[in-house]
Parts: sequence; structure tokens; C-alpha cells
Amino acid sequence: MKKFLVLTRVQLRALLSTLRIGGSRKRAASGWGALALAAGLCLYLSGFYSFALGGQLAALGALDLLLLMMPAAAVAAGVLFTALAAQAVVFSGRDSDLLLALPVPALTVLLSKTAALYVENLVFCLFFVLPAGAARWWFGGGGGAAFALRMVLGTVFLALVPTVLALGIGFLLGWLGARLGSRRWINLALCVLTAGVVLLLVLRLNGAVSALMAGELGMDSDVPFWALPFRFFQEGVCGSWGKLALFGLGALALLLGAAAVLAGRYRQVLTGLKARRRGGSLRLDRVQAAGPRRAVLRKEAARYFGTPIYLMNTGLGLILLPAAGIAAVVMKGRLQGLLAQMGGIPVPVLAAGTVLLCLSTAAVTGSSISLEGKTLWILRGAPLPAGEILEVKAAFQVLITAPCLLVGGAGIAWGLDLGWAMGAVLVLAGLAFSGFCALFGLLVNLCFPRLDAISDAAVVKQSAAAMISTFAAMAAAAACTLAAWGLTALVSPEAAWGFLSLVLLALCAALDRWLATQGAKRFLEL
Amino acid sequence: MLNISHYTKTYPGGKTAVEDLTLHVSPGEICGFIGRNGAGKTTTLRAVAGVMGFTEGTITIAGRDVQKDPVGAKSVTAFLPDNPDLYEFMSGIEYVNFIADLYAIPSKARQERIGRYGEAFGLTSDLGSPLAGYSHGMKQKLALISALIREPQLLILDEPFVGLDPAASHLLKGYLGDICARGGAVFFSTHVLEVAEKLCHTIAIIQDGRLIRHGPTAEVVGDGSLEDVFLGLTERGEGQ
Repeated sequence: MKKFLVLTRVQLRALLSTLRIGGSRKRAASGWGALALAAGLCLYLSGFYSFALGGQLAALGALDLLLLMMPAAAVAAGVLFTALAAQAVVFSGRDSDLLLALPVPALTVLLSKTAALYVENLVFCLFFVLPAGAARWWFGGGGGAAFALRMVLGTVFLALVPTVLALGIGFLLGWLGARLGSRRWINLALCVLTAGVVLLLVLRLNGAVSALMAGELGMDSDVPFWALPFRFFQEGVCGSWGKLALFGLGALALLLGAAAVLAGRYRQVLTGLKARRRGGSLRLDRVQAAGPRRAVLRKEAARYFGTPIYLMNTGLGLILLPAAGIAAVVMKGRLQGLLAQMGGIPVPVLAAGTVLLCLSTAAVTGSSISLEGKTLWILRGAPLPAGEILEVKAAFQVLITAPCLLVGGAGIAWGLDLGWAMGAVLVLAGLAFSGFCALFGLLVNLCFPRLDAISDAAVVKQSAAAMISTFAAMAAAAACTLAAWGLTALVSPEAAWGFLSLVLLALCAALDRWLATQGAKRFLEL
Repeated sequence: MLNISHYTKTYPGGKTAVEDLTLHVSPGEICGFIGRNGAGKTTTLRAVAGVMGFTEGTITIAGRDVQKDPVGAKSVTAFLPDNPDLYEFMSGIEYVNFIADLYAIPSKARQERIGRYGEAFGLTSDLGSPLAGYSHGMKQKLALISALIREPQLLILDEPFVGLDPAASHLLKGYLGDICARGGAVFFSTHVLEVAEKLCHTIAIIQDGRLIRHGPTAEVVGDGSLEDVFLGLTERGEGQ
């Protein structure tokens, strides 16, 4: 037990260190600031959703169902965000050899690594479930100290569920990746498949909520098999200590069982995952020359598409954008009908705002420098000005965004009948915003670099730079939308977004200037 | 070829790693840079390679100032750190080709050089494999290949023999000689004093950030061995 606690403390210290919590006052302040920004936004979003859903459920007399739906959403979000981290942290990580060489059982090592994963899921669950509890109390569902205690205990147990699911999926992804080879398209396909399955579950959950709202399902109808644990959670939190204990013990047994099964062959599993297939026969005559800038660009692409955790954490919005465009074209008739019913909403403003929100999740450059890690010497020693290297990194983000933006923007403009002028402005605003996010992400990463993290997952998911660049981009998207909304009182939506595009381009020019001078200097001092 | 003049490096915390170091390496010369752990060897090598900035002094490579014309200086240099971490998401050939692109090596020349050095180090059959599966020695060899294909005027190496098998070490010594024969120069750090004594034309000894001895190997070693001289100098320095 003592060894487990020591190892867990090390894993948690690594997590806090990635968040820049600890160390000097300035460093700790920036870490806590980033965390507060992220926490505030998450609480706002889950609070908004909980209270909106709570109000509707209260009207239907089924308020307790809120404590079934929000935990299910928490588990889905937790799995989506931690499955790839499980692959990168538990079944990989630069410290694996060191830890396995210690006189400590493999189960202890595996559990200590899983503990970091659990903490992340616990945070997700707290953000989803506690606002739901508050909404239940607000709408008259009852509260009190005992309820609050059961709520906290239930959430502590609930976080075990996404942890064990992420552990299983992470192992499966790693195993498949090792067996099928290291081709980048396989990584990409596996990631898209995982995201697709989890998104499908979320859509099914959403469908169940819609059916409930429409009165298609009875309040006391049998819950589906997959929702049974959440029923136990709900009934436990709402008053049954026995069911709460059963839920907790069940989740704990599941996690320990899975850990025991994997730990039995942990060393072999890690060795197997690390073993790579040999490459094909080498044809030197196929080796072709390219310019230095193109070489750095190709290297960025190889890094991006060859690192599943990087791709999934920054690529979801880029997948959703063309999907939304295609959906808008396919469902044009239904969309038009829906908009006619709603009436009075500023469609061009919200359409462009949605595009910007999708783009804000693609914070590729926010961890681009941190991911260089110990290989930073290669770029710093290259005969290329540091400013050019930074420009290529920013250009890569805009380049991978552009096709998604064109498909998504054109589809949305067509599906919503925005007109060609608004469509063109929408794409222009998207490109300008993407450039702004790319350059701002680099600035943030240069100010908050994390070059010695134990895994890529720690950099991409938990570093202060990654969080600040993502959440600041989301805030910028919201600010642009609000500004456009205000401007439409004076000018047309096309003119409003055209003006905002110019503002964003001016910001891009200022950021580019900073990166070419101060940024380049910082890059060489890292 | 390499001129280091009054080079001083002070870290942001105020610690001076290297102080007022002046050193010259001529074309055709192999200069061995030796010193205890933490003496300032790596800091100096990184500054020469343009990977790290410095506080005072000037460093020029083939007439190009490392701080005023970093791109020009880097384009005639190849640097290998003591533990070369490479891009594990690339295959061996992708990495070497990436380096060749950065240094604008024409297609024909790079094909010939990759083939030649790959065969010599016995790495050709592994070049198509991902770097993540390479052993430490294989990575070291690949990093050396990526340095040698540039045909640099100045080769800067930090502990180049660590991790290499005896055959590869022997091969490397030959290639260092080839660079000097072409009019280039080699500046490398090592703890293997026997190698330094046999291979280097000049020896520089650094102690606590200060250069305490520099000159032709025969002159530095005298009638004893480099080990005796090194231990004598550094222990005397400690005693003071």
C-alpha cells in the first residue's frame, strides 16, 4: 500500500507539474489561472445544461431523471477525453521502463498510473454531476446534508466507471495499433472510430432525452441495459444508501478486476505494444528533395497525424465542421422548416459563430512547441530563422483547417440559404480566425512551454498552454459572435463579419510581428 | 574554422556556467574538449552550435558569427548532442531526408550519401522502420549519418562514442579524419581520455567554466598520459 501511495503521489505530481501548479509563484499563478479558466467554462456549460434540462424534467414530474442523464453524459465525456490518454499514459509513457524496474508488483504500477486517469475523470464527473444536484435542489427535488454527502460519494464512485472503460479502450487501441503497424492512417482510423462510437452513444442518450420530452417514453419505463448502473447511481444518491454502496462496490470491483487481468501480463503487454513492425524495403531512388520550409511543414504533418492523442484533442472540431456542412446540405428542407418555426433569430450571425466555435477547438499550435520536448535541439540547430519555423507551425494549423472550413462553410451557407456573399464572408472570417488562433496558440505555448512531460497526453490534454489556447479561442469566438450580433443593428451581417475579419487579420499581423521578433528570441531561449 | 572569443554564459538564475573562454580550432584539426561533469563542456558546445544563446563574447564558424548570422553559421555546421533524441513518429529514412531537406542537399547527392553511410554503419535495412523501435545505439548511428551527409565544415559532437559499438566507433574515427582531410574541423567532448589522446590534434581542458589548458596534444600530455595530466590539473584546481 505504501509503495502504491508513493507511486501515485509521483503520478499526481507529474499531472500537477504539467498544469504548472507548484514551483515559483508566477508559474503557480499561471497554472491556477488556466485551471480556473477551464473550470469556470466547464461549470458554466454543465450548469447551463443541467438547469435547462432540470426545468423541463421538473415540468414533466421526472426531476430525479436528471441524476441519471447527467452522470451518463459525464461518463461519455470522460471516456471520450481519457481513452486515448489511457493508451498514452498507462500503456506507454517515458517512465514505463523505470517503473517496471522497481521492486514493485506490476499491479501496483498499473494502479498508480490509473490513479492519474481517475483524477481526470473525477474532475469531469464533478463538473457534470454537482451542477445537476444543484439544479435538482433548485427545482424542489430536495437537498440537505445527507443528499450532498451521497452526491459527493456517488460522484467519487461514478468516476471509476469512465476510468475502467478508458482503460479497456486504451489497451485495445494500443494493442490494435501495435498489431496493425504504425501507419498513420491506422492511427487516424482508430481515433475516428473511437470518437464515432462515443459520439453515437451520446447521440443515443440525447435521443432518449428527446423521446422522454416528447412523451414517447413513459417515466417509469424500463431503462436500457447500458443505463442500469446510472439507475443505481440515481436511486442511491436520491436516498438509498444500500444502492449507493452497491454501485460503488460494483464500480470498484470492475476496476480492480480489469487492473488485475491487465497487470498479470502488464510487462508483456507493454513490450508487445512497444514492439514495432519493421518497415518495408527501402528504395533510395525514391528519396526526393524539398525546401526547408516544406520539410518543416511535412514534419508537422507527420507529428500531427502520427500522434493519436494530439489529433483527437485538436481535431474533433475539424471533423464536426464538414460534417455539419454536409448535414446542412442533406437536411436543407428540414432546417428551413425549423428556422421558419423559430423565426427572428439572427441566422447568419449564429452560423458564423458556430463555425468559429468549431475552429476554436482546433488548438494545434497550443501544444506544438511543448511536443518538440527533447527533440527541440533539431529545430534550434537547423539553418532556418526561428521566426520562419514558428510561421510554418502556424501555417500548418491554417492549412489543415482550410479544407474543413471550405466544405463546412459552403455547406452551412447553402443549407441555411445565407447567400453567396455571406458564404464568402463566413469562409474569410473562418480563415482569419483560424490564423489568429494559430498565432495566439504559439504565443501561449512560448510563454508556457512544457518540454519535459512524461507523455504526449500530458502536454496535449493537461498543459497550461493547451488549456489557455483552447479556452481563450472559445472566448474569442464568443466575443466575435456577440460583436457581430451588436453590429447587425447598424450594418448587414456580411458587413459585420467582414469588419470582424479585418480586425482579426490586423490581430494576426500584430501576433506575426511579435513571433518574428520576441517569439523567435523566446524560442531560442527555451 | 572555429573562433571562440571571451565567451561567457550566465544562466537566468545568475549561475555562470562558462566564463571568459577563448579557443581556436583550425581547419583540418580535431579538438578534444575534456572536463569533469558540470564543468561547462555541453554549455559551450551548445553555444557553438547556435542551440543556446550566450551572455558575452563572440563565436564565429568559418567567418560567420553565430549570433549575428545564425543561419549562415548553422548551414556549415553539424551538431550532435550527447543523447540525440530524434522524432519517434518518423522512420529512419524520413528523418534523414528531413535533415537533408533542411540543409538543401540535392536529391542525387543525398541518395548517394545516405546509401554510403547507411551501409557503412549497417543501418540500411532498418532505415524504413519507425524510429520508436530503434535502440540507443541505432539512434546514435542514425544521428551520425544525418550529420555526416551534410558534409559539414565544422562537426560538433557531445560524447559521440557513448552507445556506439566498437566497429561503429572505429568507423566514426575514420570519418572524423575524412572531414579534416577535406579542410573541415571537429570539436568534440569526451570522457574517454585514451580516445582523445590518440585522435585529437589539440586538447582543451575546462574546469568550473574556465579553460585551464589548451594546446597541441603532444604538448599538453608531455611525457605522461592525458589521464595523469587531466587528474593532476583538475585536482589541483579543486584544491585551490
